[in-house]
Amino acid sequence: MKRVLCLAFPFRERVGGPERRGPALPDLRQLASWCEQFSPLVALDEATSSLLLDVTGVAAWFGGESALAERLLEQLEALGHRPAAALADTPGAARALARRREGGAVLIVPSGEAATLTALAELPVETLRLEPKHLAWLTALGIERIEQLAALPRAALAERFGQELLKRFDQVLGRAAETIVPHRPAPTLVVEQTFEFPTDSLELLAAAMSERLAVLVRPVAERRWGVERLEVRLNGAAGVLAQFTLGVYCATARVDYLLELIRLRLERLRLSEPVTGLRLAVSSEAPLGCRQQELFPAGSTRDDRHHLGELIDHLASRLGSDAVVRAKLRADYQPELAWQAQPALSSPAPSASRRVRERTKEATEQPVLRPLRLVRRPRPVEVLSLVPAGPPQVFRLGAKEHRIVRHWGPERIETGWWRGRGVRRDYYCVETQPGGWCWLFRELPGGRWFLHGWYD
Amino acid sequence: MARSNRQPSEVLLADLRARLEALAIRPGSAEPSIVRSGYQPLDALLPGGGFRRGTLVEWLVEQPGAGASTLALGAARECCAAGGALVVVDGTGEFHPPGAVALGLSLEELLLVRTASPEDEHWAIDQALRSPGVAAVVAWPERCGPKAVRRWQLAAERSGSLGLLVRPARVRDEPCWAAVRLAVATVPVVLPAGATASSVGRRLRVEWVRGSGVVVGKTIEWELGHETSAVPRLSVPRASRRA
Repeated sequence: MKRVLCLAFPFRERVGGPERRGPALPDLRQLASWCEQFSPLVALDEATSSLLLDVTGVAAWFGGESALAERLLEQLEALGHRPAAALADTPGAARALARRREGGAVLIVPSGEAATLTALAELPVETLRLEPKHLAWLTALGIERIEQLAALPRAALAERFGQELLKRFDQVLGRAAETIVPHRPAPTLVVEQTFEFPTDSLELLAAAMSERLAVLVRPVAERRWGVERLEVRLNGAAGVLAQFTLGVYCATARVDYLLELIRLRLERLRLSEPVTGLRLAVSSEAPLGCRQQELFPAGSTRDDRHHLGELIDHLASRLGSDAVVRAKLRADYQPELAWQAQPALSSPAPSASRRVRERTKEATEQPVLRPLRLVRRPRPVEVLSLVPAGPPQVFRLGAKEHRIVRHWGPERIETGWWRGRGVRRDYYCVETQPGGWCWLFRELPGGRWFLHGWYD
Repeated sequence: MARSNRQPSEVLLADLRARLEALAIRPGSAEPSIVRSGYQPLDALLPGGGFRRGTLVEWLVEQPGAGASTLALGAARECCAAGGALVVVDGTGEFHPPGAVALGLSLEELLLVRTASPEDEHWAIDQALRSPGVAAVVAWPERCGPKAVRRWQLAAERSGSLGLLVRPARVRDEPCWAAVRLAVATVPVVLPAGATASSVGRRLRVEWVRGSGVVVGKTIEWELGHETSAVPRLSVPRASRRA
């Protein structure tokens, strides 16, 4: 579990100073550098005049978390600063708690989601740093404290406020990861090359890239890290010809592998003129994962995931990261919104234990039968019913007439009014005479009929 | 530390020998090579009681909504039960994952690839079938020549994946590189007087079109079991859903 210490500097206070103002931004930057003696990763939050220190695993060197915080505050006081401090599992919780404290004191929240929630319970929802519109909605609903927000059902929150609010809340409680961006930017890894003569040969480009990539990746690999995202830019005489970002599923330091992925992308590029130079930059890197070979693979092994990762990299390189996705069900009754696609590159496969949990959850939820194919836009159909507002008997799609031999329904789906585009539909699953199962609905009000999918 | 009990080590050795034999048959995998289709009447039709890993299966349909995708995804579900991912290559943009969940598939193992052109679709099927991390690939290639299918067959053979292709019925007489080619249709049910729609399940007809071990033209018909098609849950008009 991560442990984060937040130092919240008051905006208008300074011990012994004539101006009685908090540290200005340059001072905060200096303080952030000074704090690096207590933590390898210090972030600066200019908006709240705070510093965030990642103290995971560091406290033991100072005799415990309490001793670390006290020593830090004592030394800061000697420098003329009296920030409020809070130590918690997440940056969000530490920041929220520190902002509500008096200067010169530290609050240490025990590790764990329950303890974090207890500590935050009484705080106003503003401390979660939500979007202004979400804050306005919560205020309108009379939800002022975090404990009130925590008591609301997650599905309803997601439907009314979207995933952003839930994500923010989950980050504060430690259910979702939140990155601390260090105030000292990592050294940028960039290589550039200008060709003596312009070229449009893919082979020459690949050869040049191979050399440059080796230079670029070497310092990363020496630290046992790998490239996660690579920015590629091709220059022409008139300026930038093409540029793209290459992402990989698992960080890699293999030059040939990265080159193979770049080639997949280059093959699809239509360059308007010859290339005069190139630029490669590592925009994201991560520690290399160690992989142990197994003699007898059984079930979903690490080796399987490794191969799948390579497949995702290849597919995403050529088709784009939005084309290779994992599907996630959403708690929304409107069929078009019942699932969302998440790029596979940014959503790693879950662990085996989580897969078992998810499977059990899906099995116990007993999903209703839904069509395997849902047309992108419901297609209008002509329908004949024997009684007004009754079930369909015959429908015509284009020139073809489908006689309905039996039907199930109606299933009323009425939802989405808060989005401003509410739907009210009566769905029927129908079996037709040529031998097909379709999903039709009658739009209400109005009574127009549409084909929405196939039970293929 | 020496084992005092001799029996467990013999059992262990027998297990290791069996795994080595499996590896010798299909390098890289110790999984059994036959995969159940997920539907008992279909298993009874198939030689060996299921589909063979490392092969292609073609499902031919006359029209959408015939039920072939349900059967293909049922086989994919069985194939992925022993591990490995399911890759769905969707060139139509119409694949609806909640429908797959209703068939018992876990979305955690499903990788969806959405392609914009037939070339991309064919390439993605090829790549997925080549990957040893993939247990099954489901796709609906509308137009593809025998060369492409042959390439996929070789890719599946090499990796041990099962390729499940739903294709239009017009390719029925084209050269076949799949191990099995089946024609699938939903048989409209004539309800007896007084019967409700849900008293009879979905009736499927599967005809053996190509493949060894079964007489061409052999046809089976069966009613989809309730465990695979939640028909009874639709039979009761659902309460109005007001969120």
